Amino acid sequence: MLAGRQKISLKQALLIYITLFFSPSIRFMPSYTAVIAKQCGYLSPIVPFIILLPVIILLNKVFMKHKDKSLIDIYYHSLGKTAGKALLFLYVLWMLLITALYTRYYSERLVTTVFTQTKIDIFILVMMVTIAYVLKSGFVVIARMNEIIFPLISVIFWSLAIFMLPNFKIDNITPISYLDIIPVIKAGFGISFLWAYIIYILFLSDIINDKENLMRQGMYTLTYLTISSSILVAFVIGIIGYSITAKIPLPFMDAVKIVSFFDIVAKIESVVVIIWILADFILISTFSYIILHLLKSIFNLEDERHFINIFLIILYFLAMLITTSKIELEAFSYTIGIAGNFLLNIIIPYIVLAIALFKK
Amino acid sequence: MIAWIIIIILISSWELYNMRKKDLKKEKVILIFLTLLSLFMVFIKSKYPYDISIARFALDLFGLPH
Repeated sequence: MLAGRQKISLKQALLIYITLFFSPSIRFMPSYTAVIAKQCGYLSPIVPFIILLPVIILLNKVFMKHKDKSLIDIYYHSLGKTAGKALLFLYVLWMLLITALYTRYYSERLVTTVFTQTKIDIFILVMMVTIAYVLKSGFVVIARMNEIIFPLISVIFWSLAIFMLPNFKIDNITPISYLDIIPVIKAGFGISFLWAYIIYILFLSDIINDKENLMRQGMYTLTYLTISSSILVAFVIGIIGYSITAKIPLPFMDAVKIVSFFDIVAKIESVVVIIWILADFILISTFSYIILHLLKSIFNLEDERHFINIFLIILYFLAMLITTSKIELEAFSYTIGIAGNFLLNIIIPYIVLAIALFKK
Repeated sequence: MIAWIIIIILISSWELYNMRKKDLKKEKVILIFLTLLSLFMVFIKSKYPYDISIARFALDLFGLPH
């Protein structure tokens, strides 16, 4: 039984982390790794595992040392109150930008795959209204919803992996040689920010119980993400080949379209769209909650729930104003998006956690 | 544009009314700031519906091709 009714368990938090990972990874990972690492793209998820493992160890040690402190408090403790607040405000701005980016991607995806005759703002509005309703009830509701959504996504994902097996061509993911080591590492660095979203989740550590199990459960989660993303990339490249994967906007969708399991199961791409929307819902609502939670801490607010509606209106307009074309959106994601995420989610946490570990 | 302005003002007024009951002063200031920001965004979106792109601005700022 959890200590407080407004708290979630570490397991629930890590399940949200895995769900957050799903939507951007199936959109971004196959094409990005295919461009850089070509037929060996499926090996690149090993690199983020190696990069993020020390972060988990550091986080665990810091939480053990400062048992009563949240990650936000640890930032204040490491950098001082003013610099800590300034840095967290930078996180707020960055998270606002990437949440708007993901919101835009969600609607663009629906418009390009299923509802080709519909305006994108309709989907953004529907998502914002749903999120406003859910966020009013607190983060516990999102965590419990995710306990239903996560198994659904997992079952569908692993079923698709099985259905893809007959179309899988081993020639598409071979040969592997020592010449592929550098491209694999390069691609691995580019996708590692997705693993680093654990930092965002742990900004909510004051509402997360049993953080002392972070090392064990965090390791399991990292391993699961690495294996599932390797399989995801391997299947997409294995079915449609790396050259096509690198050129098309939604390679996972095209790989799924090819799926036909003994002519019994076919046209299952609509199922992918459904789980994609569910994953996007968890992603956008969680990021929105984290932004409001950070604002609450930065400005010492008593209640952040009053800002939910107006915040989501700002997010709606930001998603509309973030780009005028999908090409720009992808150019932004592949350059500034990766660099910004790498800086804020990997380099800065390394520095802050190292300071926290040595500071009394 | 008019519809959005009405929605934003209604929501902000409702939240300000709730905050007054709880005597939340700092929250009121931030809400007013966020309301003004959202009204500014409504204005921008209505006046330049297809011209403004934050992504393009950021890419130009760092001299990146797009």
